[in-house]
Amino acid sequence: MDLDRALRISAAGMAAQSTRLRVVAENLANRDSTGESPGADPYRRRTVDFANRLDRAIGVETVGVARVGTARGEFPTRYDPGHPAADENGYVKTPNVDSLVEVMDMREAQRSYSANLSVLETTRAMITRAIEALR
Amino acid sequence: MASSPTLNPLALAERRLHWLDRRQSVLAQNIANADTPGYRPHDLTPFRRELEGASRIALARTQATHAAGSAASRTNARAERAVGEVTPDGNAVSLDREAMRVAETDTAHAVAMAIHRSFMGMFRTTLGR
Repeated sequence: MDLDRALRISAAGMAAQSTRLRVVAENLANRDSTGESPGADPYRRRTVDFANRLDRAIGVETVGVARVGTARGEFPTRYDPGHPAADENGYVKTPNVDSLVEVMDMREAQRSYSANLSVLETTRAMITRAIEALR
Repeated sequence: MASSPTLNPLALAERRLHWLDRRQSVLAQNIANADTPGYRPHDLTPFRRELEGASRIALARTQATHAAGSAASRTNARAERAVGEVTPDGNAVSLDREAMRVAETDTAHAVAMAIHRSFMGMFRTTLGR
């Protein structure tokens, strides 16, 4: 039944957005995770890739997380000679996590999640209406 | 005349409901992929066009064990050519446009359901229930 498929597609969309939100939480939680030894690399920001792929169980294309990767780019540095991860010049590498970018990502995930949820509700209303025709 | 499938109100309502079911599934797919890089929104061929092509050739089922050809009903969801804005990652889904279509599908579903129900009511009246 196609409405049943629609429900599953929306659920897959919500699951993908939840994964994204989890990664945002991970990034924000590790905003200050520096390395442990002198000159060591700190936490690297993680990214989520979405892909449209075929779900063989239900025979339709749904969305899923293709992979959780890491963001390339330079680490910002901070002058803090007393820090255990400071290099010989006294600079500490800090994670390449930008709070503003993360917050924006979080907002977008939230928006897409509620879009999927409202499709789910509409689909449910359609199914309920079809069931009522049996009475 | 009454035997023509397109003129029988019940059969027509059923076709419409079937089309709307499929469309809802396509729209759900579009919204689920609202953040997928390179994804283009899909839509079904309009219902009117589908009715015109009602007599298209289906796969023959010469034995009861043959699976019904689902290819015909699956393939007519195609990527739209006229899209609005495209994000830098190549995604062309516009959530408000999709939301509008979902609302449209929901309303049309209610209408088709009401037609179906009132015709069934006539049968019930005839049966004296």
